[in-house]
Amino acid sequence: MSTKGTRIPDWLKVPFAGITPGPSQDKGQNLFPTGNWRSIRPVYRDKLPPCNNACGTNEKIQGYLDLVKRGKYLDAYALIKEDMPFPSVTGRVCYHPCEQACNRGKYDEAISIRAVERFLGDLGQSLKHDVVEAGPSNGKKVAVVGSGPAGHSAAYQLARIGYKVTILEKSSKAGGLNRGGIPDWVLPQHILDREIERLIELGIAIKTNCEVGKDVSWDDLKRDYDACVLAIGLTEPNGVRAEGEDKEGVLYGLPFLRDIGMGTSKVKLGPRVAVIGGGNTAIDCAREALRQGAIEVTMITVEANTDEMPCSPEDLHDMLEEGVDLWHGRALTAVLGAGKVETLQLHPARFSGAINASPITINRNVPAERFAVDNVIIAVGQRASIDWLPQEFKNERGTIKIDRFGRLGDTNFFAAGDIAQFGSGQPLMVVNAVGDGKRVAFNLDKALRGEPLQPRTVAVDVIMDLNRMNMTYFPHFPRAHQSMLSPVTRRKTQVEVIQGFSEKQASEEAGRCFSCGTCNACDNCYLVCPEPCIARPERSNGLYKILVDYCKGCRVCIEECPTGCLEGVPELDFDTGVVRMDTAFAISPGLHGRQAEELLNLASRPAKDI
Amino acid sequence: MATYIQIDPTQKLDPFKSVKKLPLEEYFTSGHRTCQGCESALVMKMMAKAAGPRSIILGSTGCMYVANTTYYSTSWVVPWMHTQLGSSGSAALGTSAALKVLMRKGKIKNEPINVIAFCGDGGGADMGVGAISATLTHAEYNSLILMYDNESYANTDIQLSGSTPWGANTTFSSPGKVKRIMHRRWKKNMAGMMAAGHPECKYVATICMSYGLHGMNSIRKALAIGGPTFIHSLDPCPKGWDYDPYLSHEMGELAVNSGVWPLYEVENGLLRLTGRTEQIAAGKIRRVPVRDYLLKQGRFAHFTNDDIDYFQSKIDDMWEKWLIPGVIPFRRDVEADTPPSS
Amino acid sequence: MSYTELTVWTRGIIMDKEGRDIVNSISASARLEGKYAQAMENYVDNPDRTNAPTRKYCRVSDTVLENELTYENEHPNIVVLVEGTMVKGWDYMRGMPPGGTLVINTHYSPEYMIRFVPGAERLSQLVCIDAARLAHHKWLYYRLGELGLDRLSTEGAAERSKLMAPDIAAPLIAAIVKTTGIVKMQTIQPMIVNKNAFEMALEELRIMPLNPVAV
Repeated sequence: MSTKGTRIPDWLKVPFAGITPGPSQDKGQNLFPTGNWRSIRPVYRDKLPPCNNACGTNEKIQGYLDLVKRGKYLDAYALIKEDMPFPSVTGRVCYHPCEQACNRGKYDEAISIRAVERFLGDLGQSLKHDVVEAGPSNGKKVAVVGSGPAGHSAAYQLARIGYKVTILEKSSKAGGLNRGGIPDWVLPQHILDREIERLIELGIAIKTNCEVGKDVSWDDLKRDYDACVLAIGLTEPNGVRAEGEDKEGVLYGLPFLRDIGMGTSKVKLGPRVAVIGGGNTAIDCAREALRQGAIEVTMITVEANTDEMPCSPEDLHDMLEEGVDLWHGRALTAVLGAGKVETLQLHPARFSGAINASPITINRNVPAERFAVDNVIIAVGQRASIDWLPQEFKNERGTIKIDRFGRLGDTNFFAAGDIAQFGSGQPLMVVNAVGDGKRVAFNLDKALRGEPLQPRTVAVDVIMDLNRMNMTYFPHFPRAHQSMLSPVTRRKTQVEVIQGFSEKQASEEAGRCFSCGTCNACDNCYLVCPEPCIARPERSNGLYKILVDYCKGCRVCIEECPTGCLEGVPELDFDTGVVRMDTAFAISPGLHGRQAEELLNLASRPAKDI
Repeated sequence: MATYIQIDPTQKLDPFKSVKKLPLEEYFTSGHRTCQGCESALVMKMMAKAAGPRSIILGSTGCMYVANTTYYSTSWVVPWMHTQLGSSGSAALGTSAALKVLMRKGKIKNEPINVIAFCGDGGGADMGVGAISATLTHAEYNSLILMYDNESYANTDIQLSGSTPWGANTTFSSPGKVKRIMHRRWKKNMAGMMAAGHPECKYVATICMSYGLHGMNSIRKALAIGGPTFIHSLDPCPKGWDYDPYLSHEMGELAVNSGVWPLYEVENGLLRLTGRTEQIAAGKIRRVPVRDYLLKQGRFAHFTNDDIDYFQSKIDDMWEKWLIPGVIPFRRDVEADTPPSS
Repeated sequence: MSYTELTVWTRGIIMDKEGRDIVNSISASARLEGKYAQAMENYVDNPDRTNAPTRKYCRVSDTVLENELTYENEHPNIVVLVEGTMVKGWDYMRGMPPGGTLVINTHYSPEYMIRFVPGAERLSQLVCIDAARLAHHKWLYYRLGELGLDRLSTEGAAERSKLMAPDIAAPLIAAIVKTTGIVKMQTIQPMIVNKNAFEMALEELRIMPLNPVAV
C-alpha cells in the first residue's frame, strides 16, 4: 500500500522534540532536573597527600610528580623551587621522609621521590637562567648568619620576597653543612657550587671568613641590618667522656668531614680505624675513612641492633656493602696508648631509656675488651657554639631561646635550622632545616610588615588515607631503582655512588604516583557518571563541573575516584542547589500549560521539512 | 550472485585511544529518570558518544525507553524512535532499509548514518530474539543491535527473564520458607548464539561498561565494520540486583573479574577474548571468587554455601570444560550436574 | 464539617512502603472512627525508579467524599516529607490553604529547615522529627542507598513485609496525629507495629509554631 496521498495533519508533522524543550548538550533536557533526587552531593575537595605532609619543607611533591608525568619538567622544577632552593642537593642527600609516608609503600613499593627530585634538580642545574627571580626590592637589609641548609633557604626565600640579603659565613667557602658535613661521593662539590651561584644570581651577597662573635658582633648586626636570621647550626662535636680522648689520632666526626669537604684536611689515617657512634654522620665518617686510605674500618655503637640506630637504613646497607664491620652494644670507656691512640677499651653498654643527662648505661663489672686501632673517629652528635650571644637569649639546652615563631624575644632576630630545632623532637636533617629556614623567613617578613606571625610547626590538614582511595585503577608496578657503583670500585674513590634517573625512568616513576587525595584530572568521574552530569567544558585538565541540577547522588563517582578527591556531603548542608519542581515531573507550573498552548498554536507554524 | 549484496559504506570510526581523547559532546544528556546509579544509562551515554552525531537511535520498550523519554521529553540529542518490545531487530532493519531507499531516491543526502537499535534482555533475549536473528541475516543493511542486559524485566519491577541467572531472587522467583531456589535455569547465552548461527553477521561482542573505553571501542568497531552486528552488554542494576547504587561500577568489574561475564568479540568469524578476560585466560590475573560477586547483591542473599559452591563450579566448568571457554557451551564429555537441593 | 487532605512525599522504591503505610493507617483509623476516608498512590510520578519522588494521598472527611475520583490532592492541609532532602526539591506547598502543617523527617532543627520551605507563610506549624534515629539507623541519609529492600512492592506485586509501619513510618505517624489531630491517638496506636518509636516520637518531636489561623 502506498502512502502517497495520505494526509498527515499539520500538528503531527512537527517532531515532539520541538514541543517539549529540546535537550542540549550542556544543559540537559530541562523538564526533569533530577538533582532533587539527591541526598548526598559529590564535592571535589583536595586533601593533603601524606608525602607533602611528611616533607620537612612541605614540598608539593604530588604536584611536581604529576607535572613530570605529563612531561612538563620545567613547571615541575619551578614548583619544587617554591619550597626548596636546592633540589639537586636534597635529591642526593635527603633522608626522604616522604617515601616512608608514601601511600604506595603500603600497596607495593614507595615512589622513588628523591630520585625524581634529583632529576629535576639536575635539570635546573643545566639551565642557563634559573626560573626563580628576586622579588621587587623593598629596600630593607637582612643578614643571614650561616650558609648551611637553613641559612641558604632563609636567604633564598627572603631574596624572593625582595629583601637585600647578606650571608655571613665563617668558613672560606659557603655551603655550611652541605659542604662540610656531606662527603663528595654523596654530593659533588660542583653541584653545591652551582646552587650557591644561583643565590648570588638572586642578588644575595655572601661574606665568607666572617665569623659572628669575632669579626662581627651582636651589636653590629643590630645596627647594620633591619633584621637577622641566625642559622648557625651545631658546630662543636660532642665527646664521649672517655679517658684519653685528647690523645693524638682521636678525631671527631664533623670536623673530620668538614676539613675534607673544605679541602683543608691534613689527616692521614692508619690502616685500622674505629668509628664511635651510630648516626648518619658516623656512617659517612666510616665510609669516608675507607676512601681516605683505611683498610679495616669498624663501627662501634651502643645500640643493640641495627633497628635502633638513628640512621637511614639505606646508607647503613651501603656502608655494610662496602665492607665496614659493625659492632653493637659497646661503649668507648678509654683510649689507651703512649701519646697516640693504640688501643680502645670497650665495655658492654646499652641505652637505659632513662631521660637524664646520660641515657647510656655502661656495665663496668665485666672485663673490658681491648681493640687495637690506629685512629678513632668519634661521631656522637654536636652542640652549639654561642658564646657571643647575649645571655638572655640562651636556654638550658645550650641553644638559642626562641618563641614558637622562631623569634628571639621581641627583637628582629630569628633563629632557624639545627640551632632552633635541637631538642625540639624534630629530626636534625637537611630538609627539616630548609623548611625551618623557609618558615622563619616568612615570619621575618611578617614581623617587619607588622602582620601576625605563624607558628613554626605546621598545622596538619586532612591527610589522605589509602583506605579512602580506589586501588582498582592502580596496577602493581615495581619501583625504579637508581643504579649504583659496585662496592668494590666505589670504596676507594670520591666518585658519586648513586646515579641519577634518566628522563624515561623519572617519568615512569612519577607515573606511579597515586596523587593521593588530589584531583589529577584522570577523567574517571567524567567517564563513569551515568547521568551524565559531570561536565568537562574544555580539554584543560581538572576543571570538572558537577551539574547539580541533574546529579542524582548515586555516588558512583565518589566510589570510583581513584585518588579520593571526591567526597560526599549531605545535600542539606548546602543552601544552594535548590531545584524547585512544581510537581514531581515538571519544573514550573506553567510548563505543561505552555506546551498545551504550543500544541494549539502549531497550526500557525510553517510545516517543517523532514 | 556475489555482487548482488552490496554493503553500503559506513562511517569511519577509529577506536578511541584514551579517555583524554574522547569527544566532549554528549548525545545522551542528563535529565533522564533512570534510577540512581543506573549502569544502563551509562551504556546509553557511551553508546551515543561512540556513535557520534550522525546516528539514529531506536529503542524498544524497557527501562531505557520509559525512563529516558517520559512525558514528551527526552534526553536524546540525536534522533530516536520508540519501537515495540519485541521488534528492535525489525526496527533496525526497516530503518536501515528506509534510509537506503531515501538516499537512492535522492530525498536525503547520501551519507553513512549509524542505525542503532537497543533492547533490554526481556525485549532482546526473550521476545525479540526472532527479529534480531532475522536482522542479522540481512547482510546488506548496516545496523547495530545493542542488548543491555540487567538480568530481569527491571522496568516493570524485576520479573524473571531469560537472562536471569540461576537462583536469583525476582518478583517471580522469590525464595520462600519451603523452597529456596525458585529459579533453576541458567542465563541465555545470547552473544554466543548470535555468533554461532549467523554467518552474515560480521561482528558480535560482549561488553561491560565498567570498562568503558573497551565498550565504546567495541561499539565503534561494530558500527564501522558494516552489515548487521550485535553487542551484548551486562549492566548492573541497583534496583534489580539489590545493592547500594554506588557499587554499580564495581559490580560490573566483579562480574568480569570473577569470570561470570567473559568479554569477547567475534570479528569476521574470528574469536578473540578481549580486555580483562583475555588477561584471565592468559593467566596474567586470577579470577576473583564468585562469592565476592554474589554476596554483594541482595538478589543472592538467600544463597547458602552449597549454592555458592555450585555457582562457582558452573563458572569453573565454563572456563575449563567448554570447547571454547566462556563462549560456546559445547563440551568434550558428559558431566553430572548436581545442583544443591532447594 | 471538616475535610482534610494529607499528601505524603516519599522516595521511590527505597521509602515507598513508608509513605504508603502513613496514608493507609490514617485512612483506616479514620474509617474506624466513622469518617469517610480514602488513601491512594500516584502513579503519574513514575514511582518505580529508585529515589524518584512519589506522592501518596489521603483524604478524611465527615461527609461523603465528593472528589473521590480526583487523582491528586489539590489543597493539602498536611504535607509530610518522608526524606528530609526533599525539602529542597519540590513545590510541595502548592495549593496549601493557610494554617497548614509540614512534617519533615530530619535531624536538623525546624529553624534550619524553614529556609528551604517555599510559601512558609501558609504554615501554622513546622514539625521536624528525627525518625531515622528513632526507628532504625539504616534510614540515616548516608545509608539510604542500601535500602533496596522494598523494591518489589511498588506495584504491589510482592511485598516482603506485611507489617504496618514497622520502621520510620511510625514516628512520622505519631508526629502527624499529635500535631494535627487528624485521627484520634487511641484508634491509630494499636495498628502501629513499631510502638517504641511511636511513643518516643510523641516526646521528641520539635514543633516550630508559625502563623496562627484566625478563626
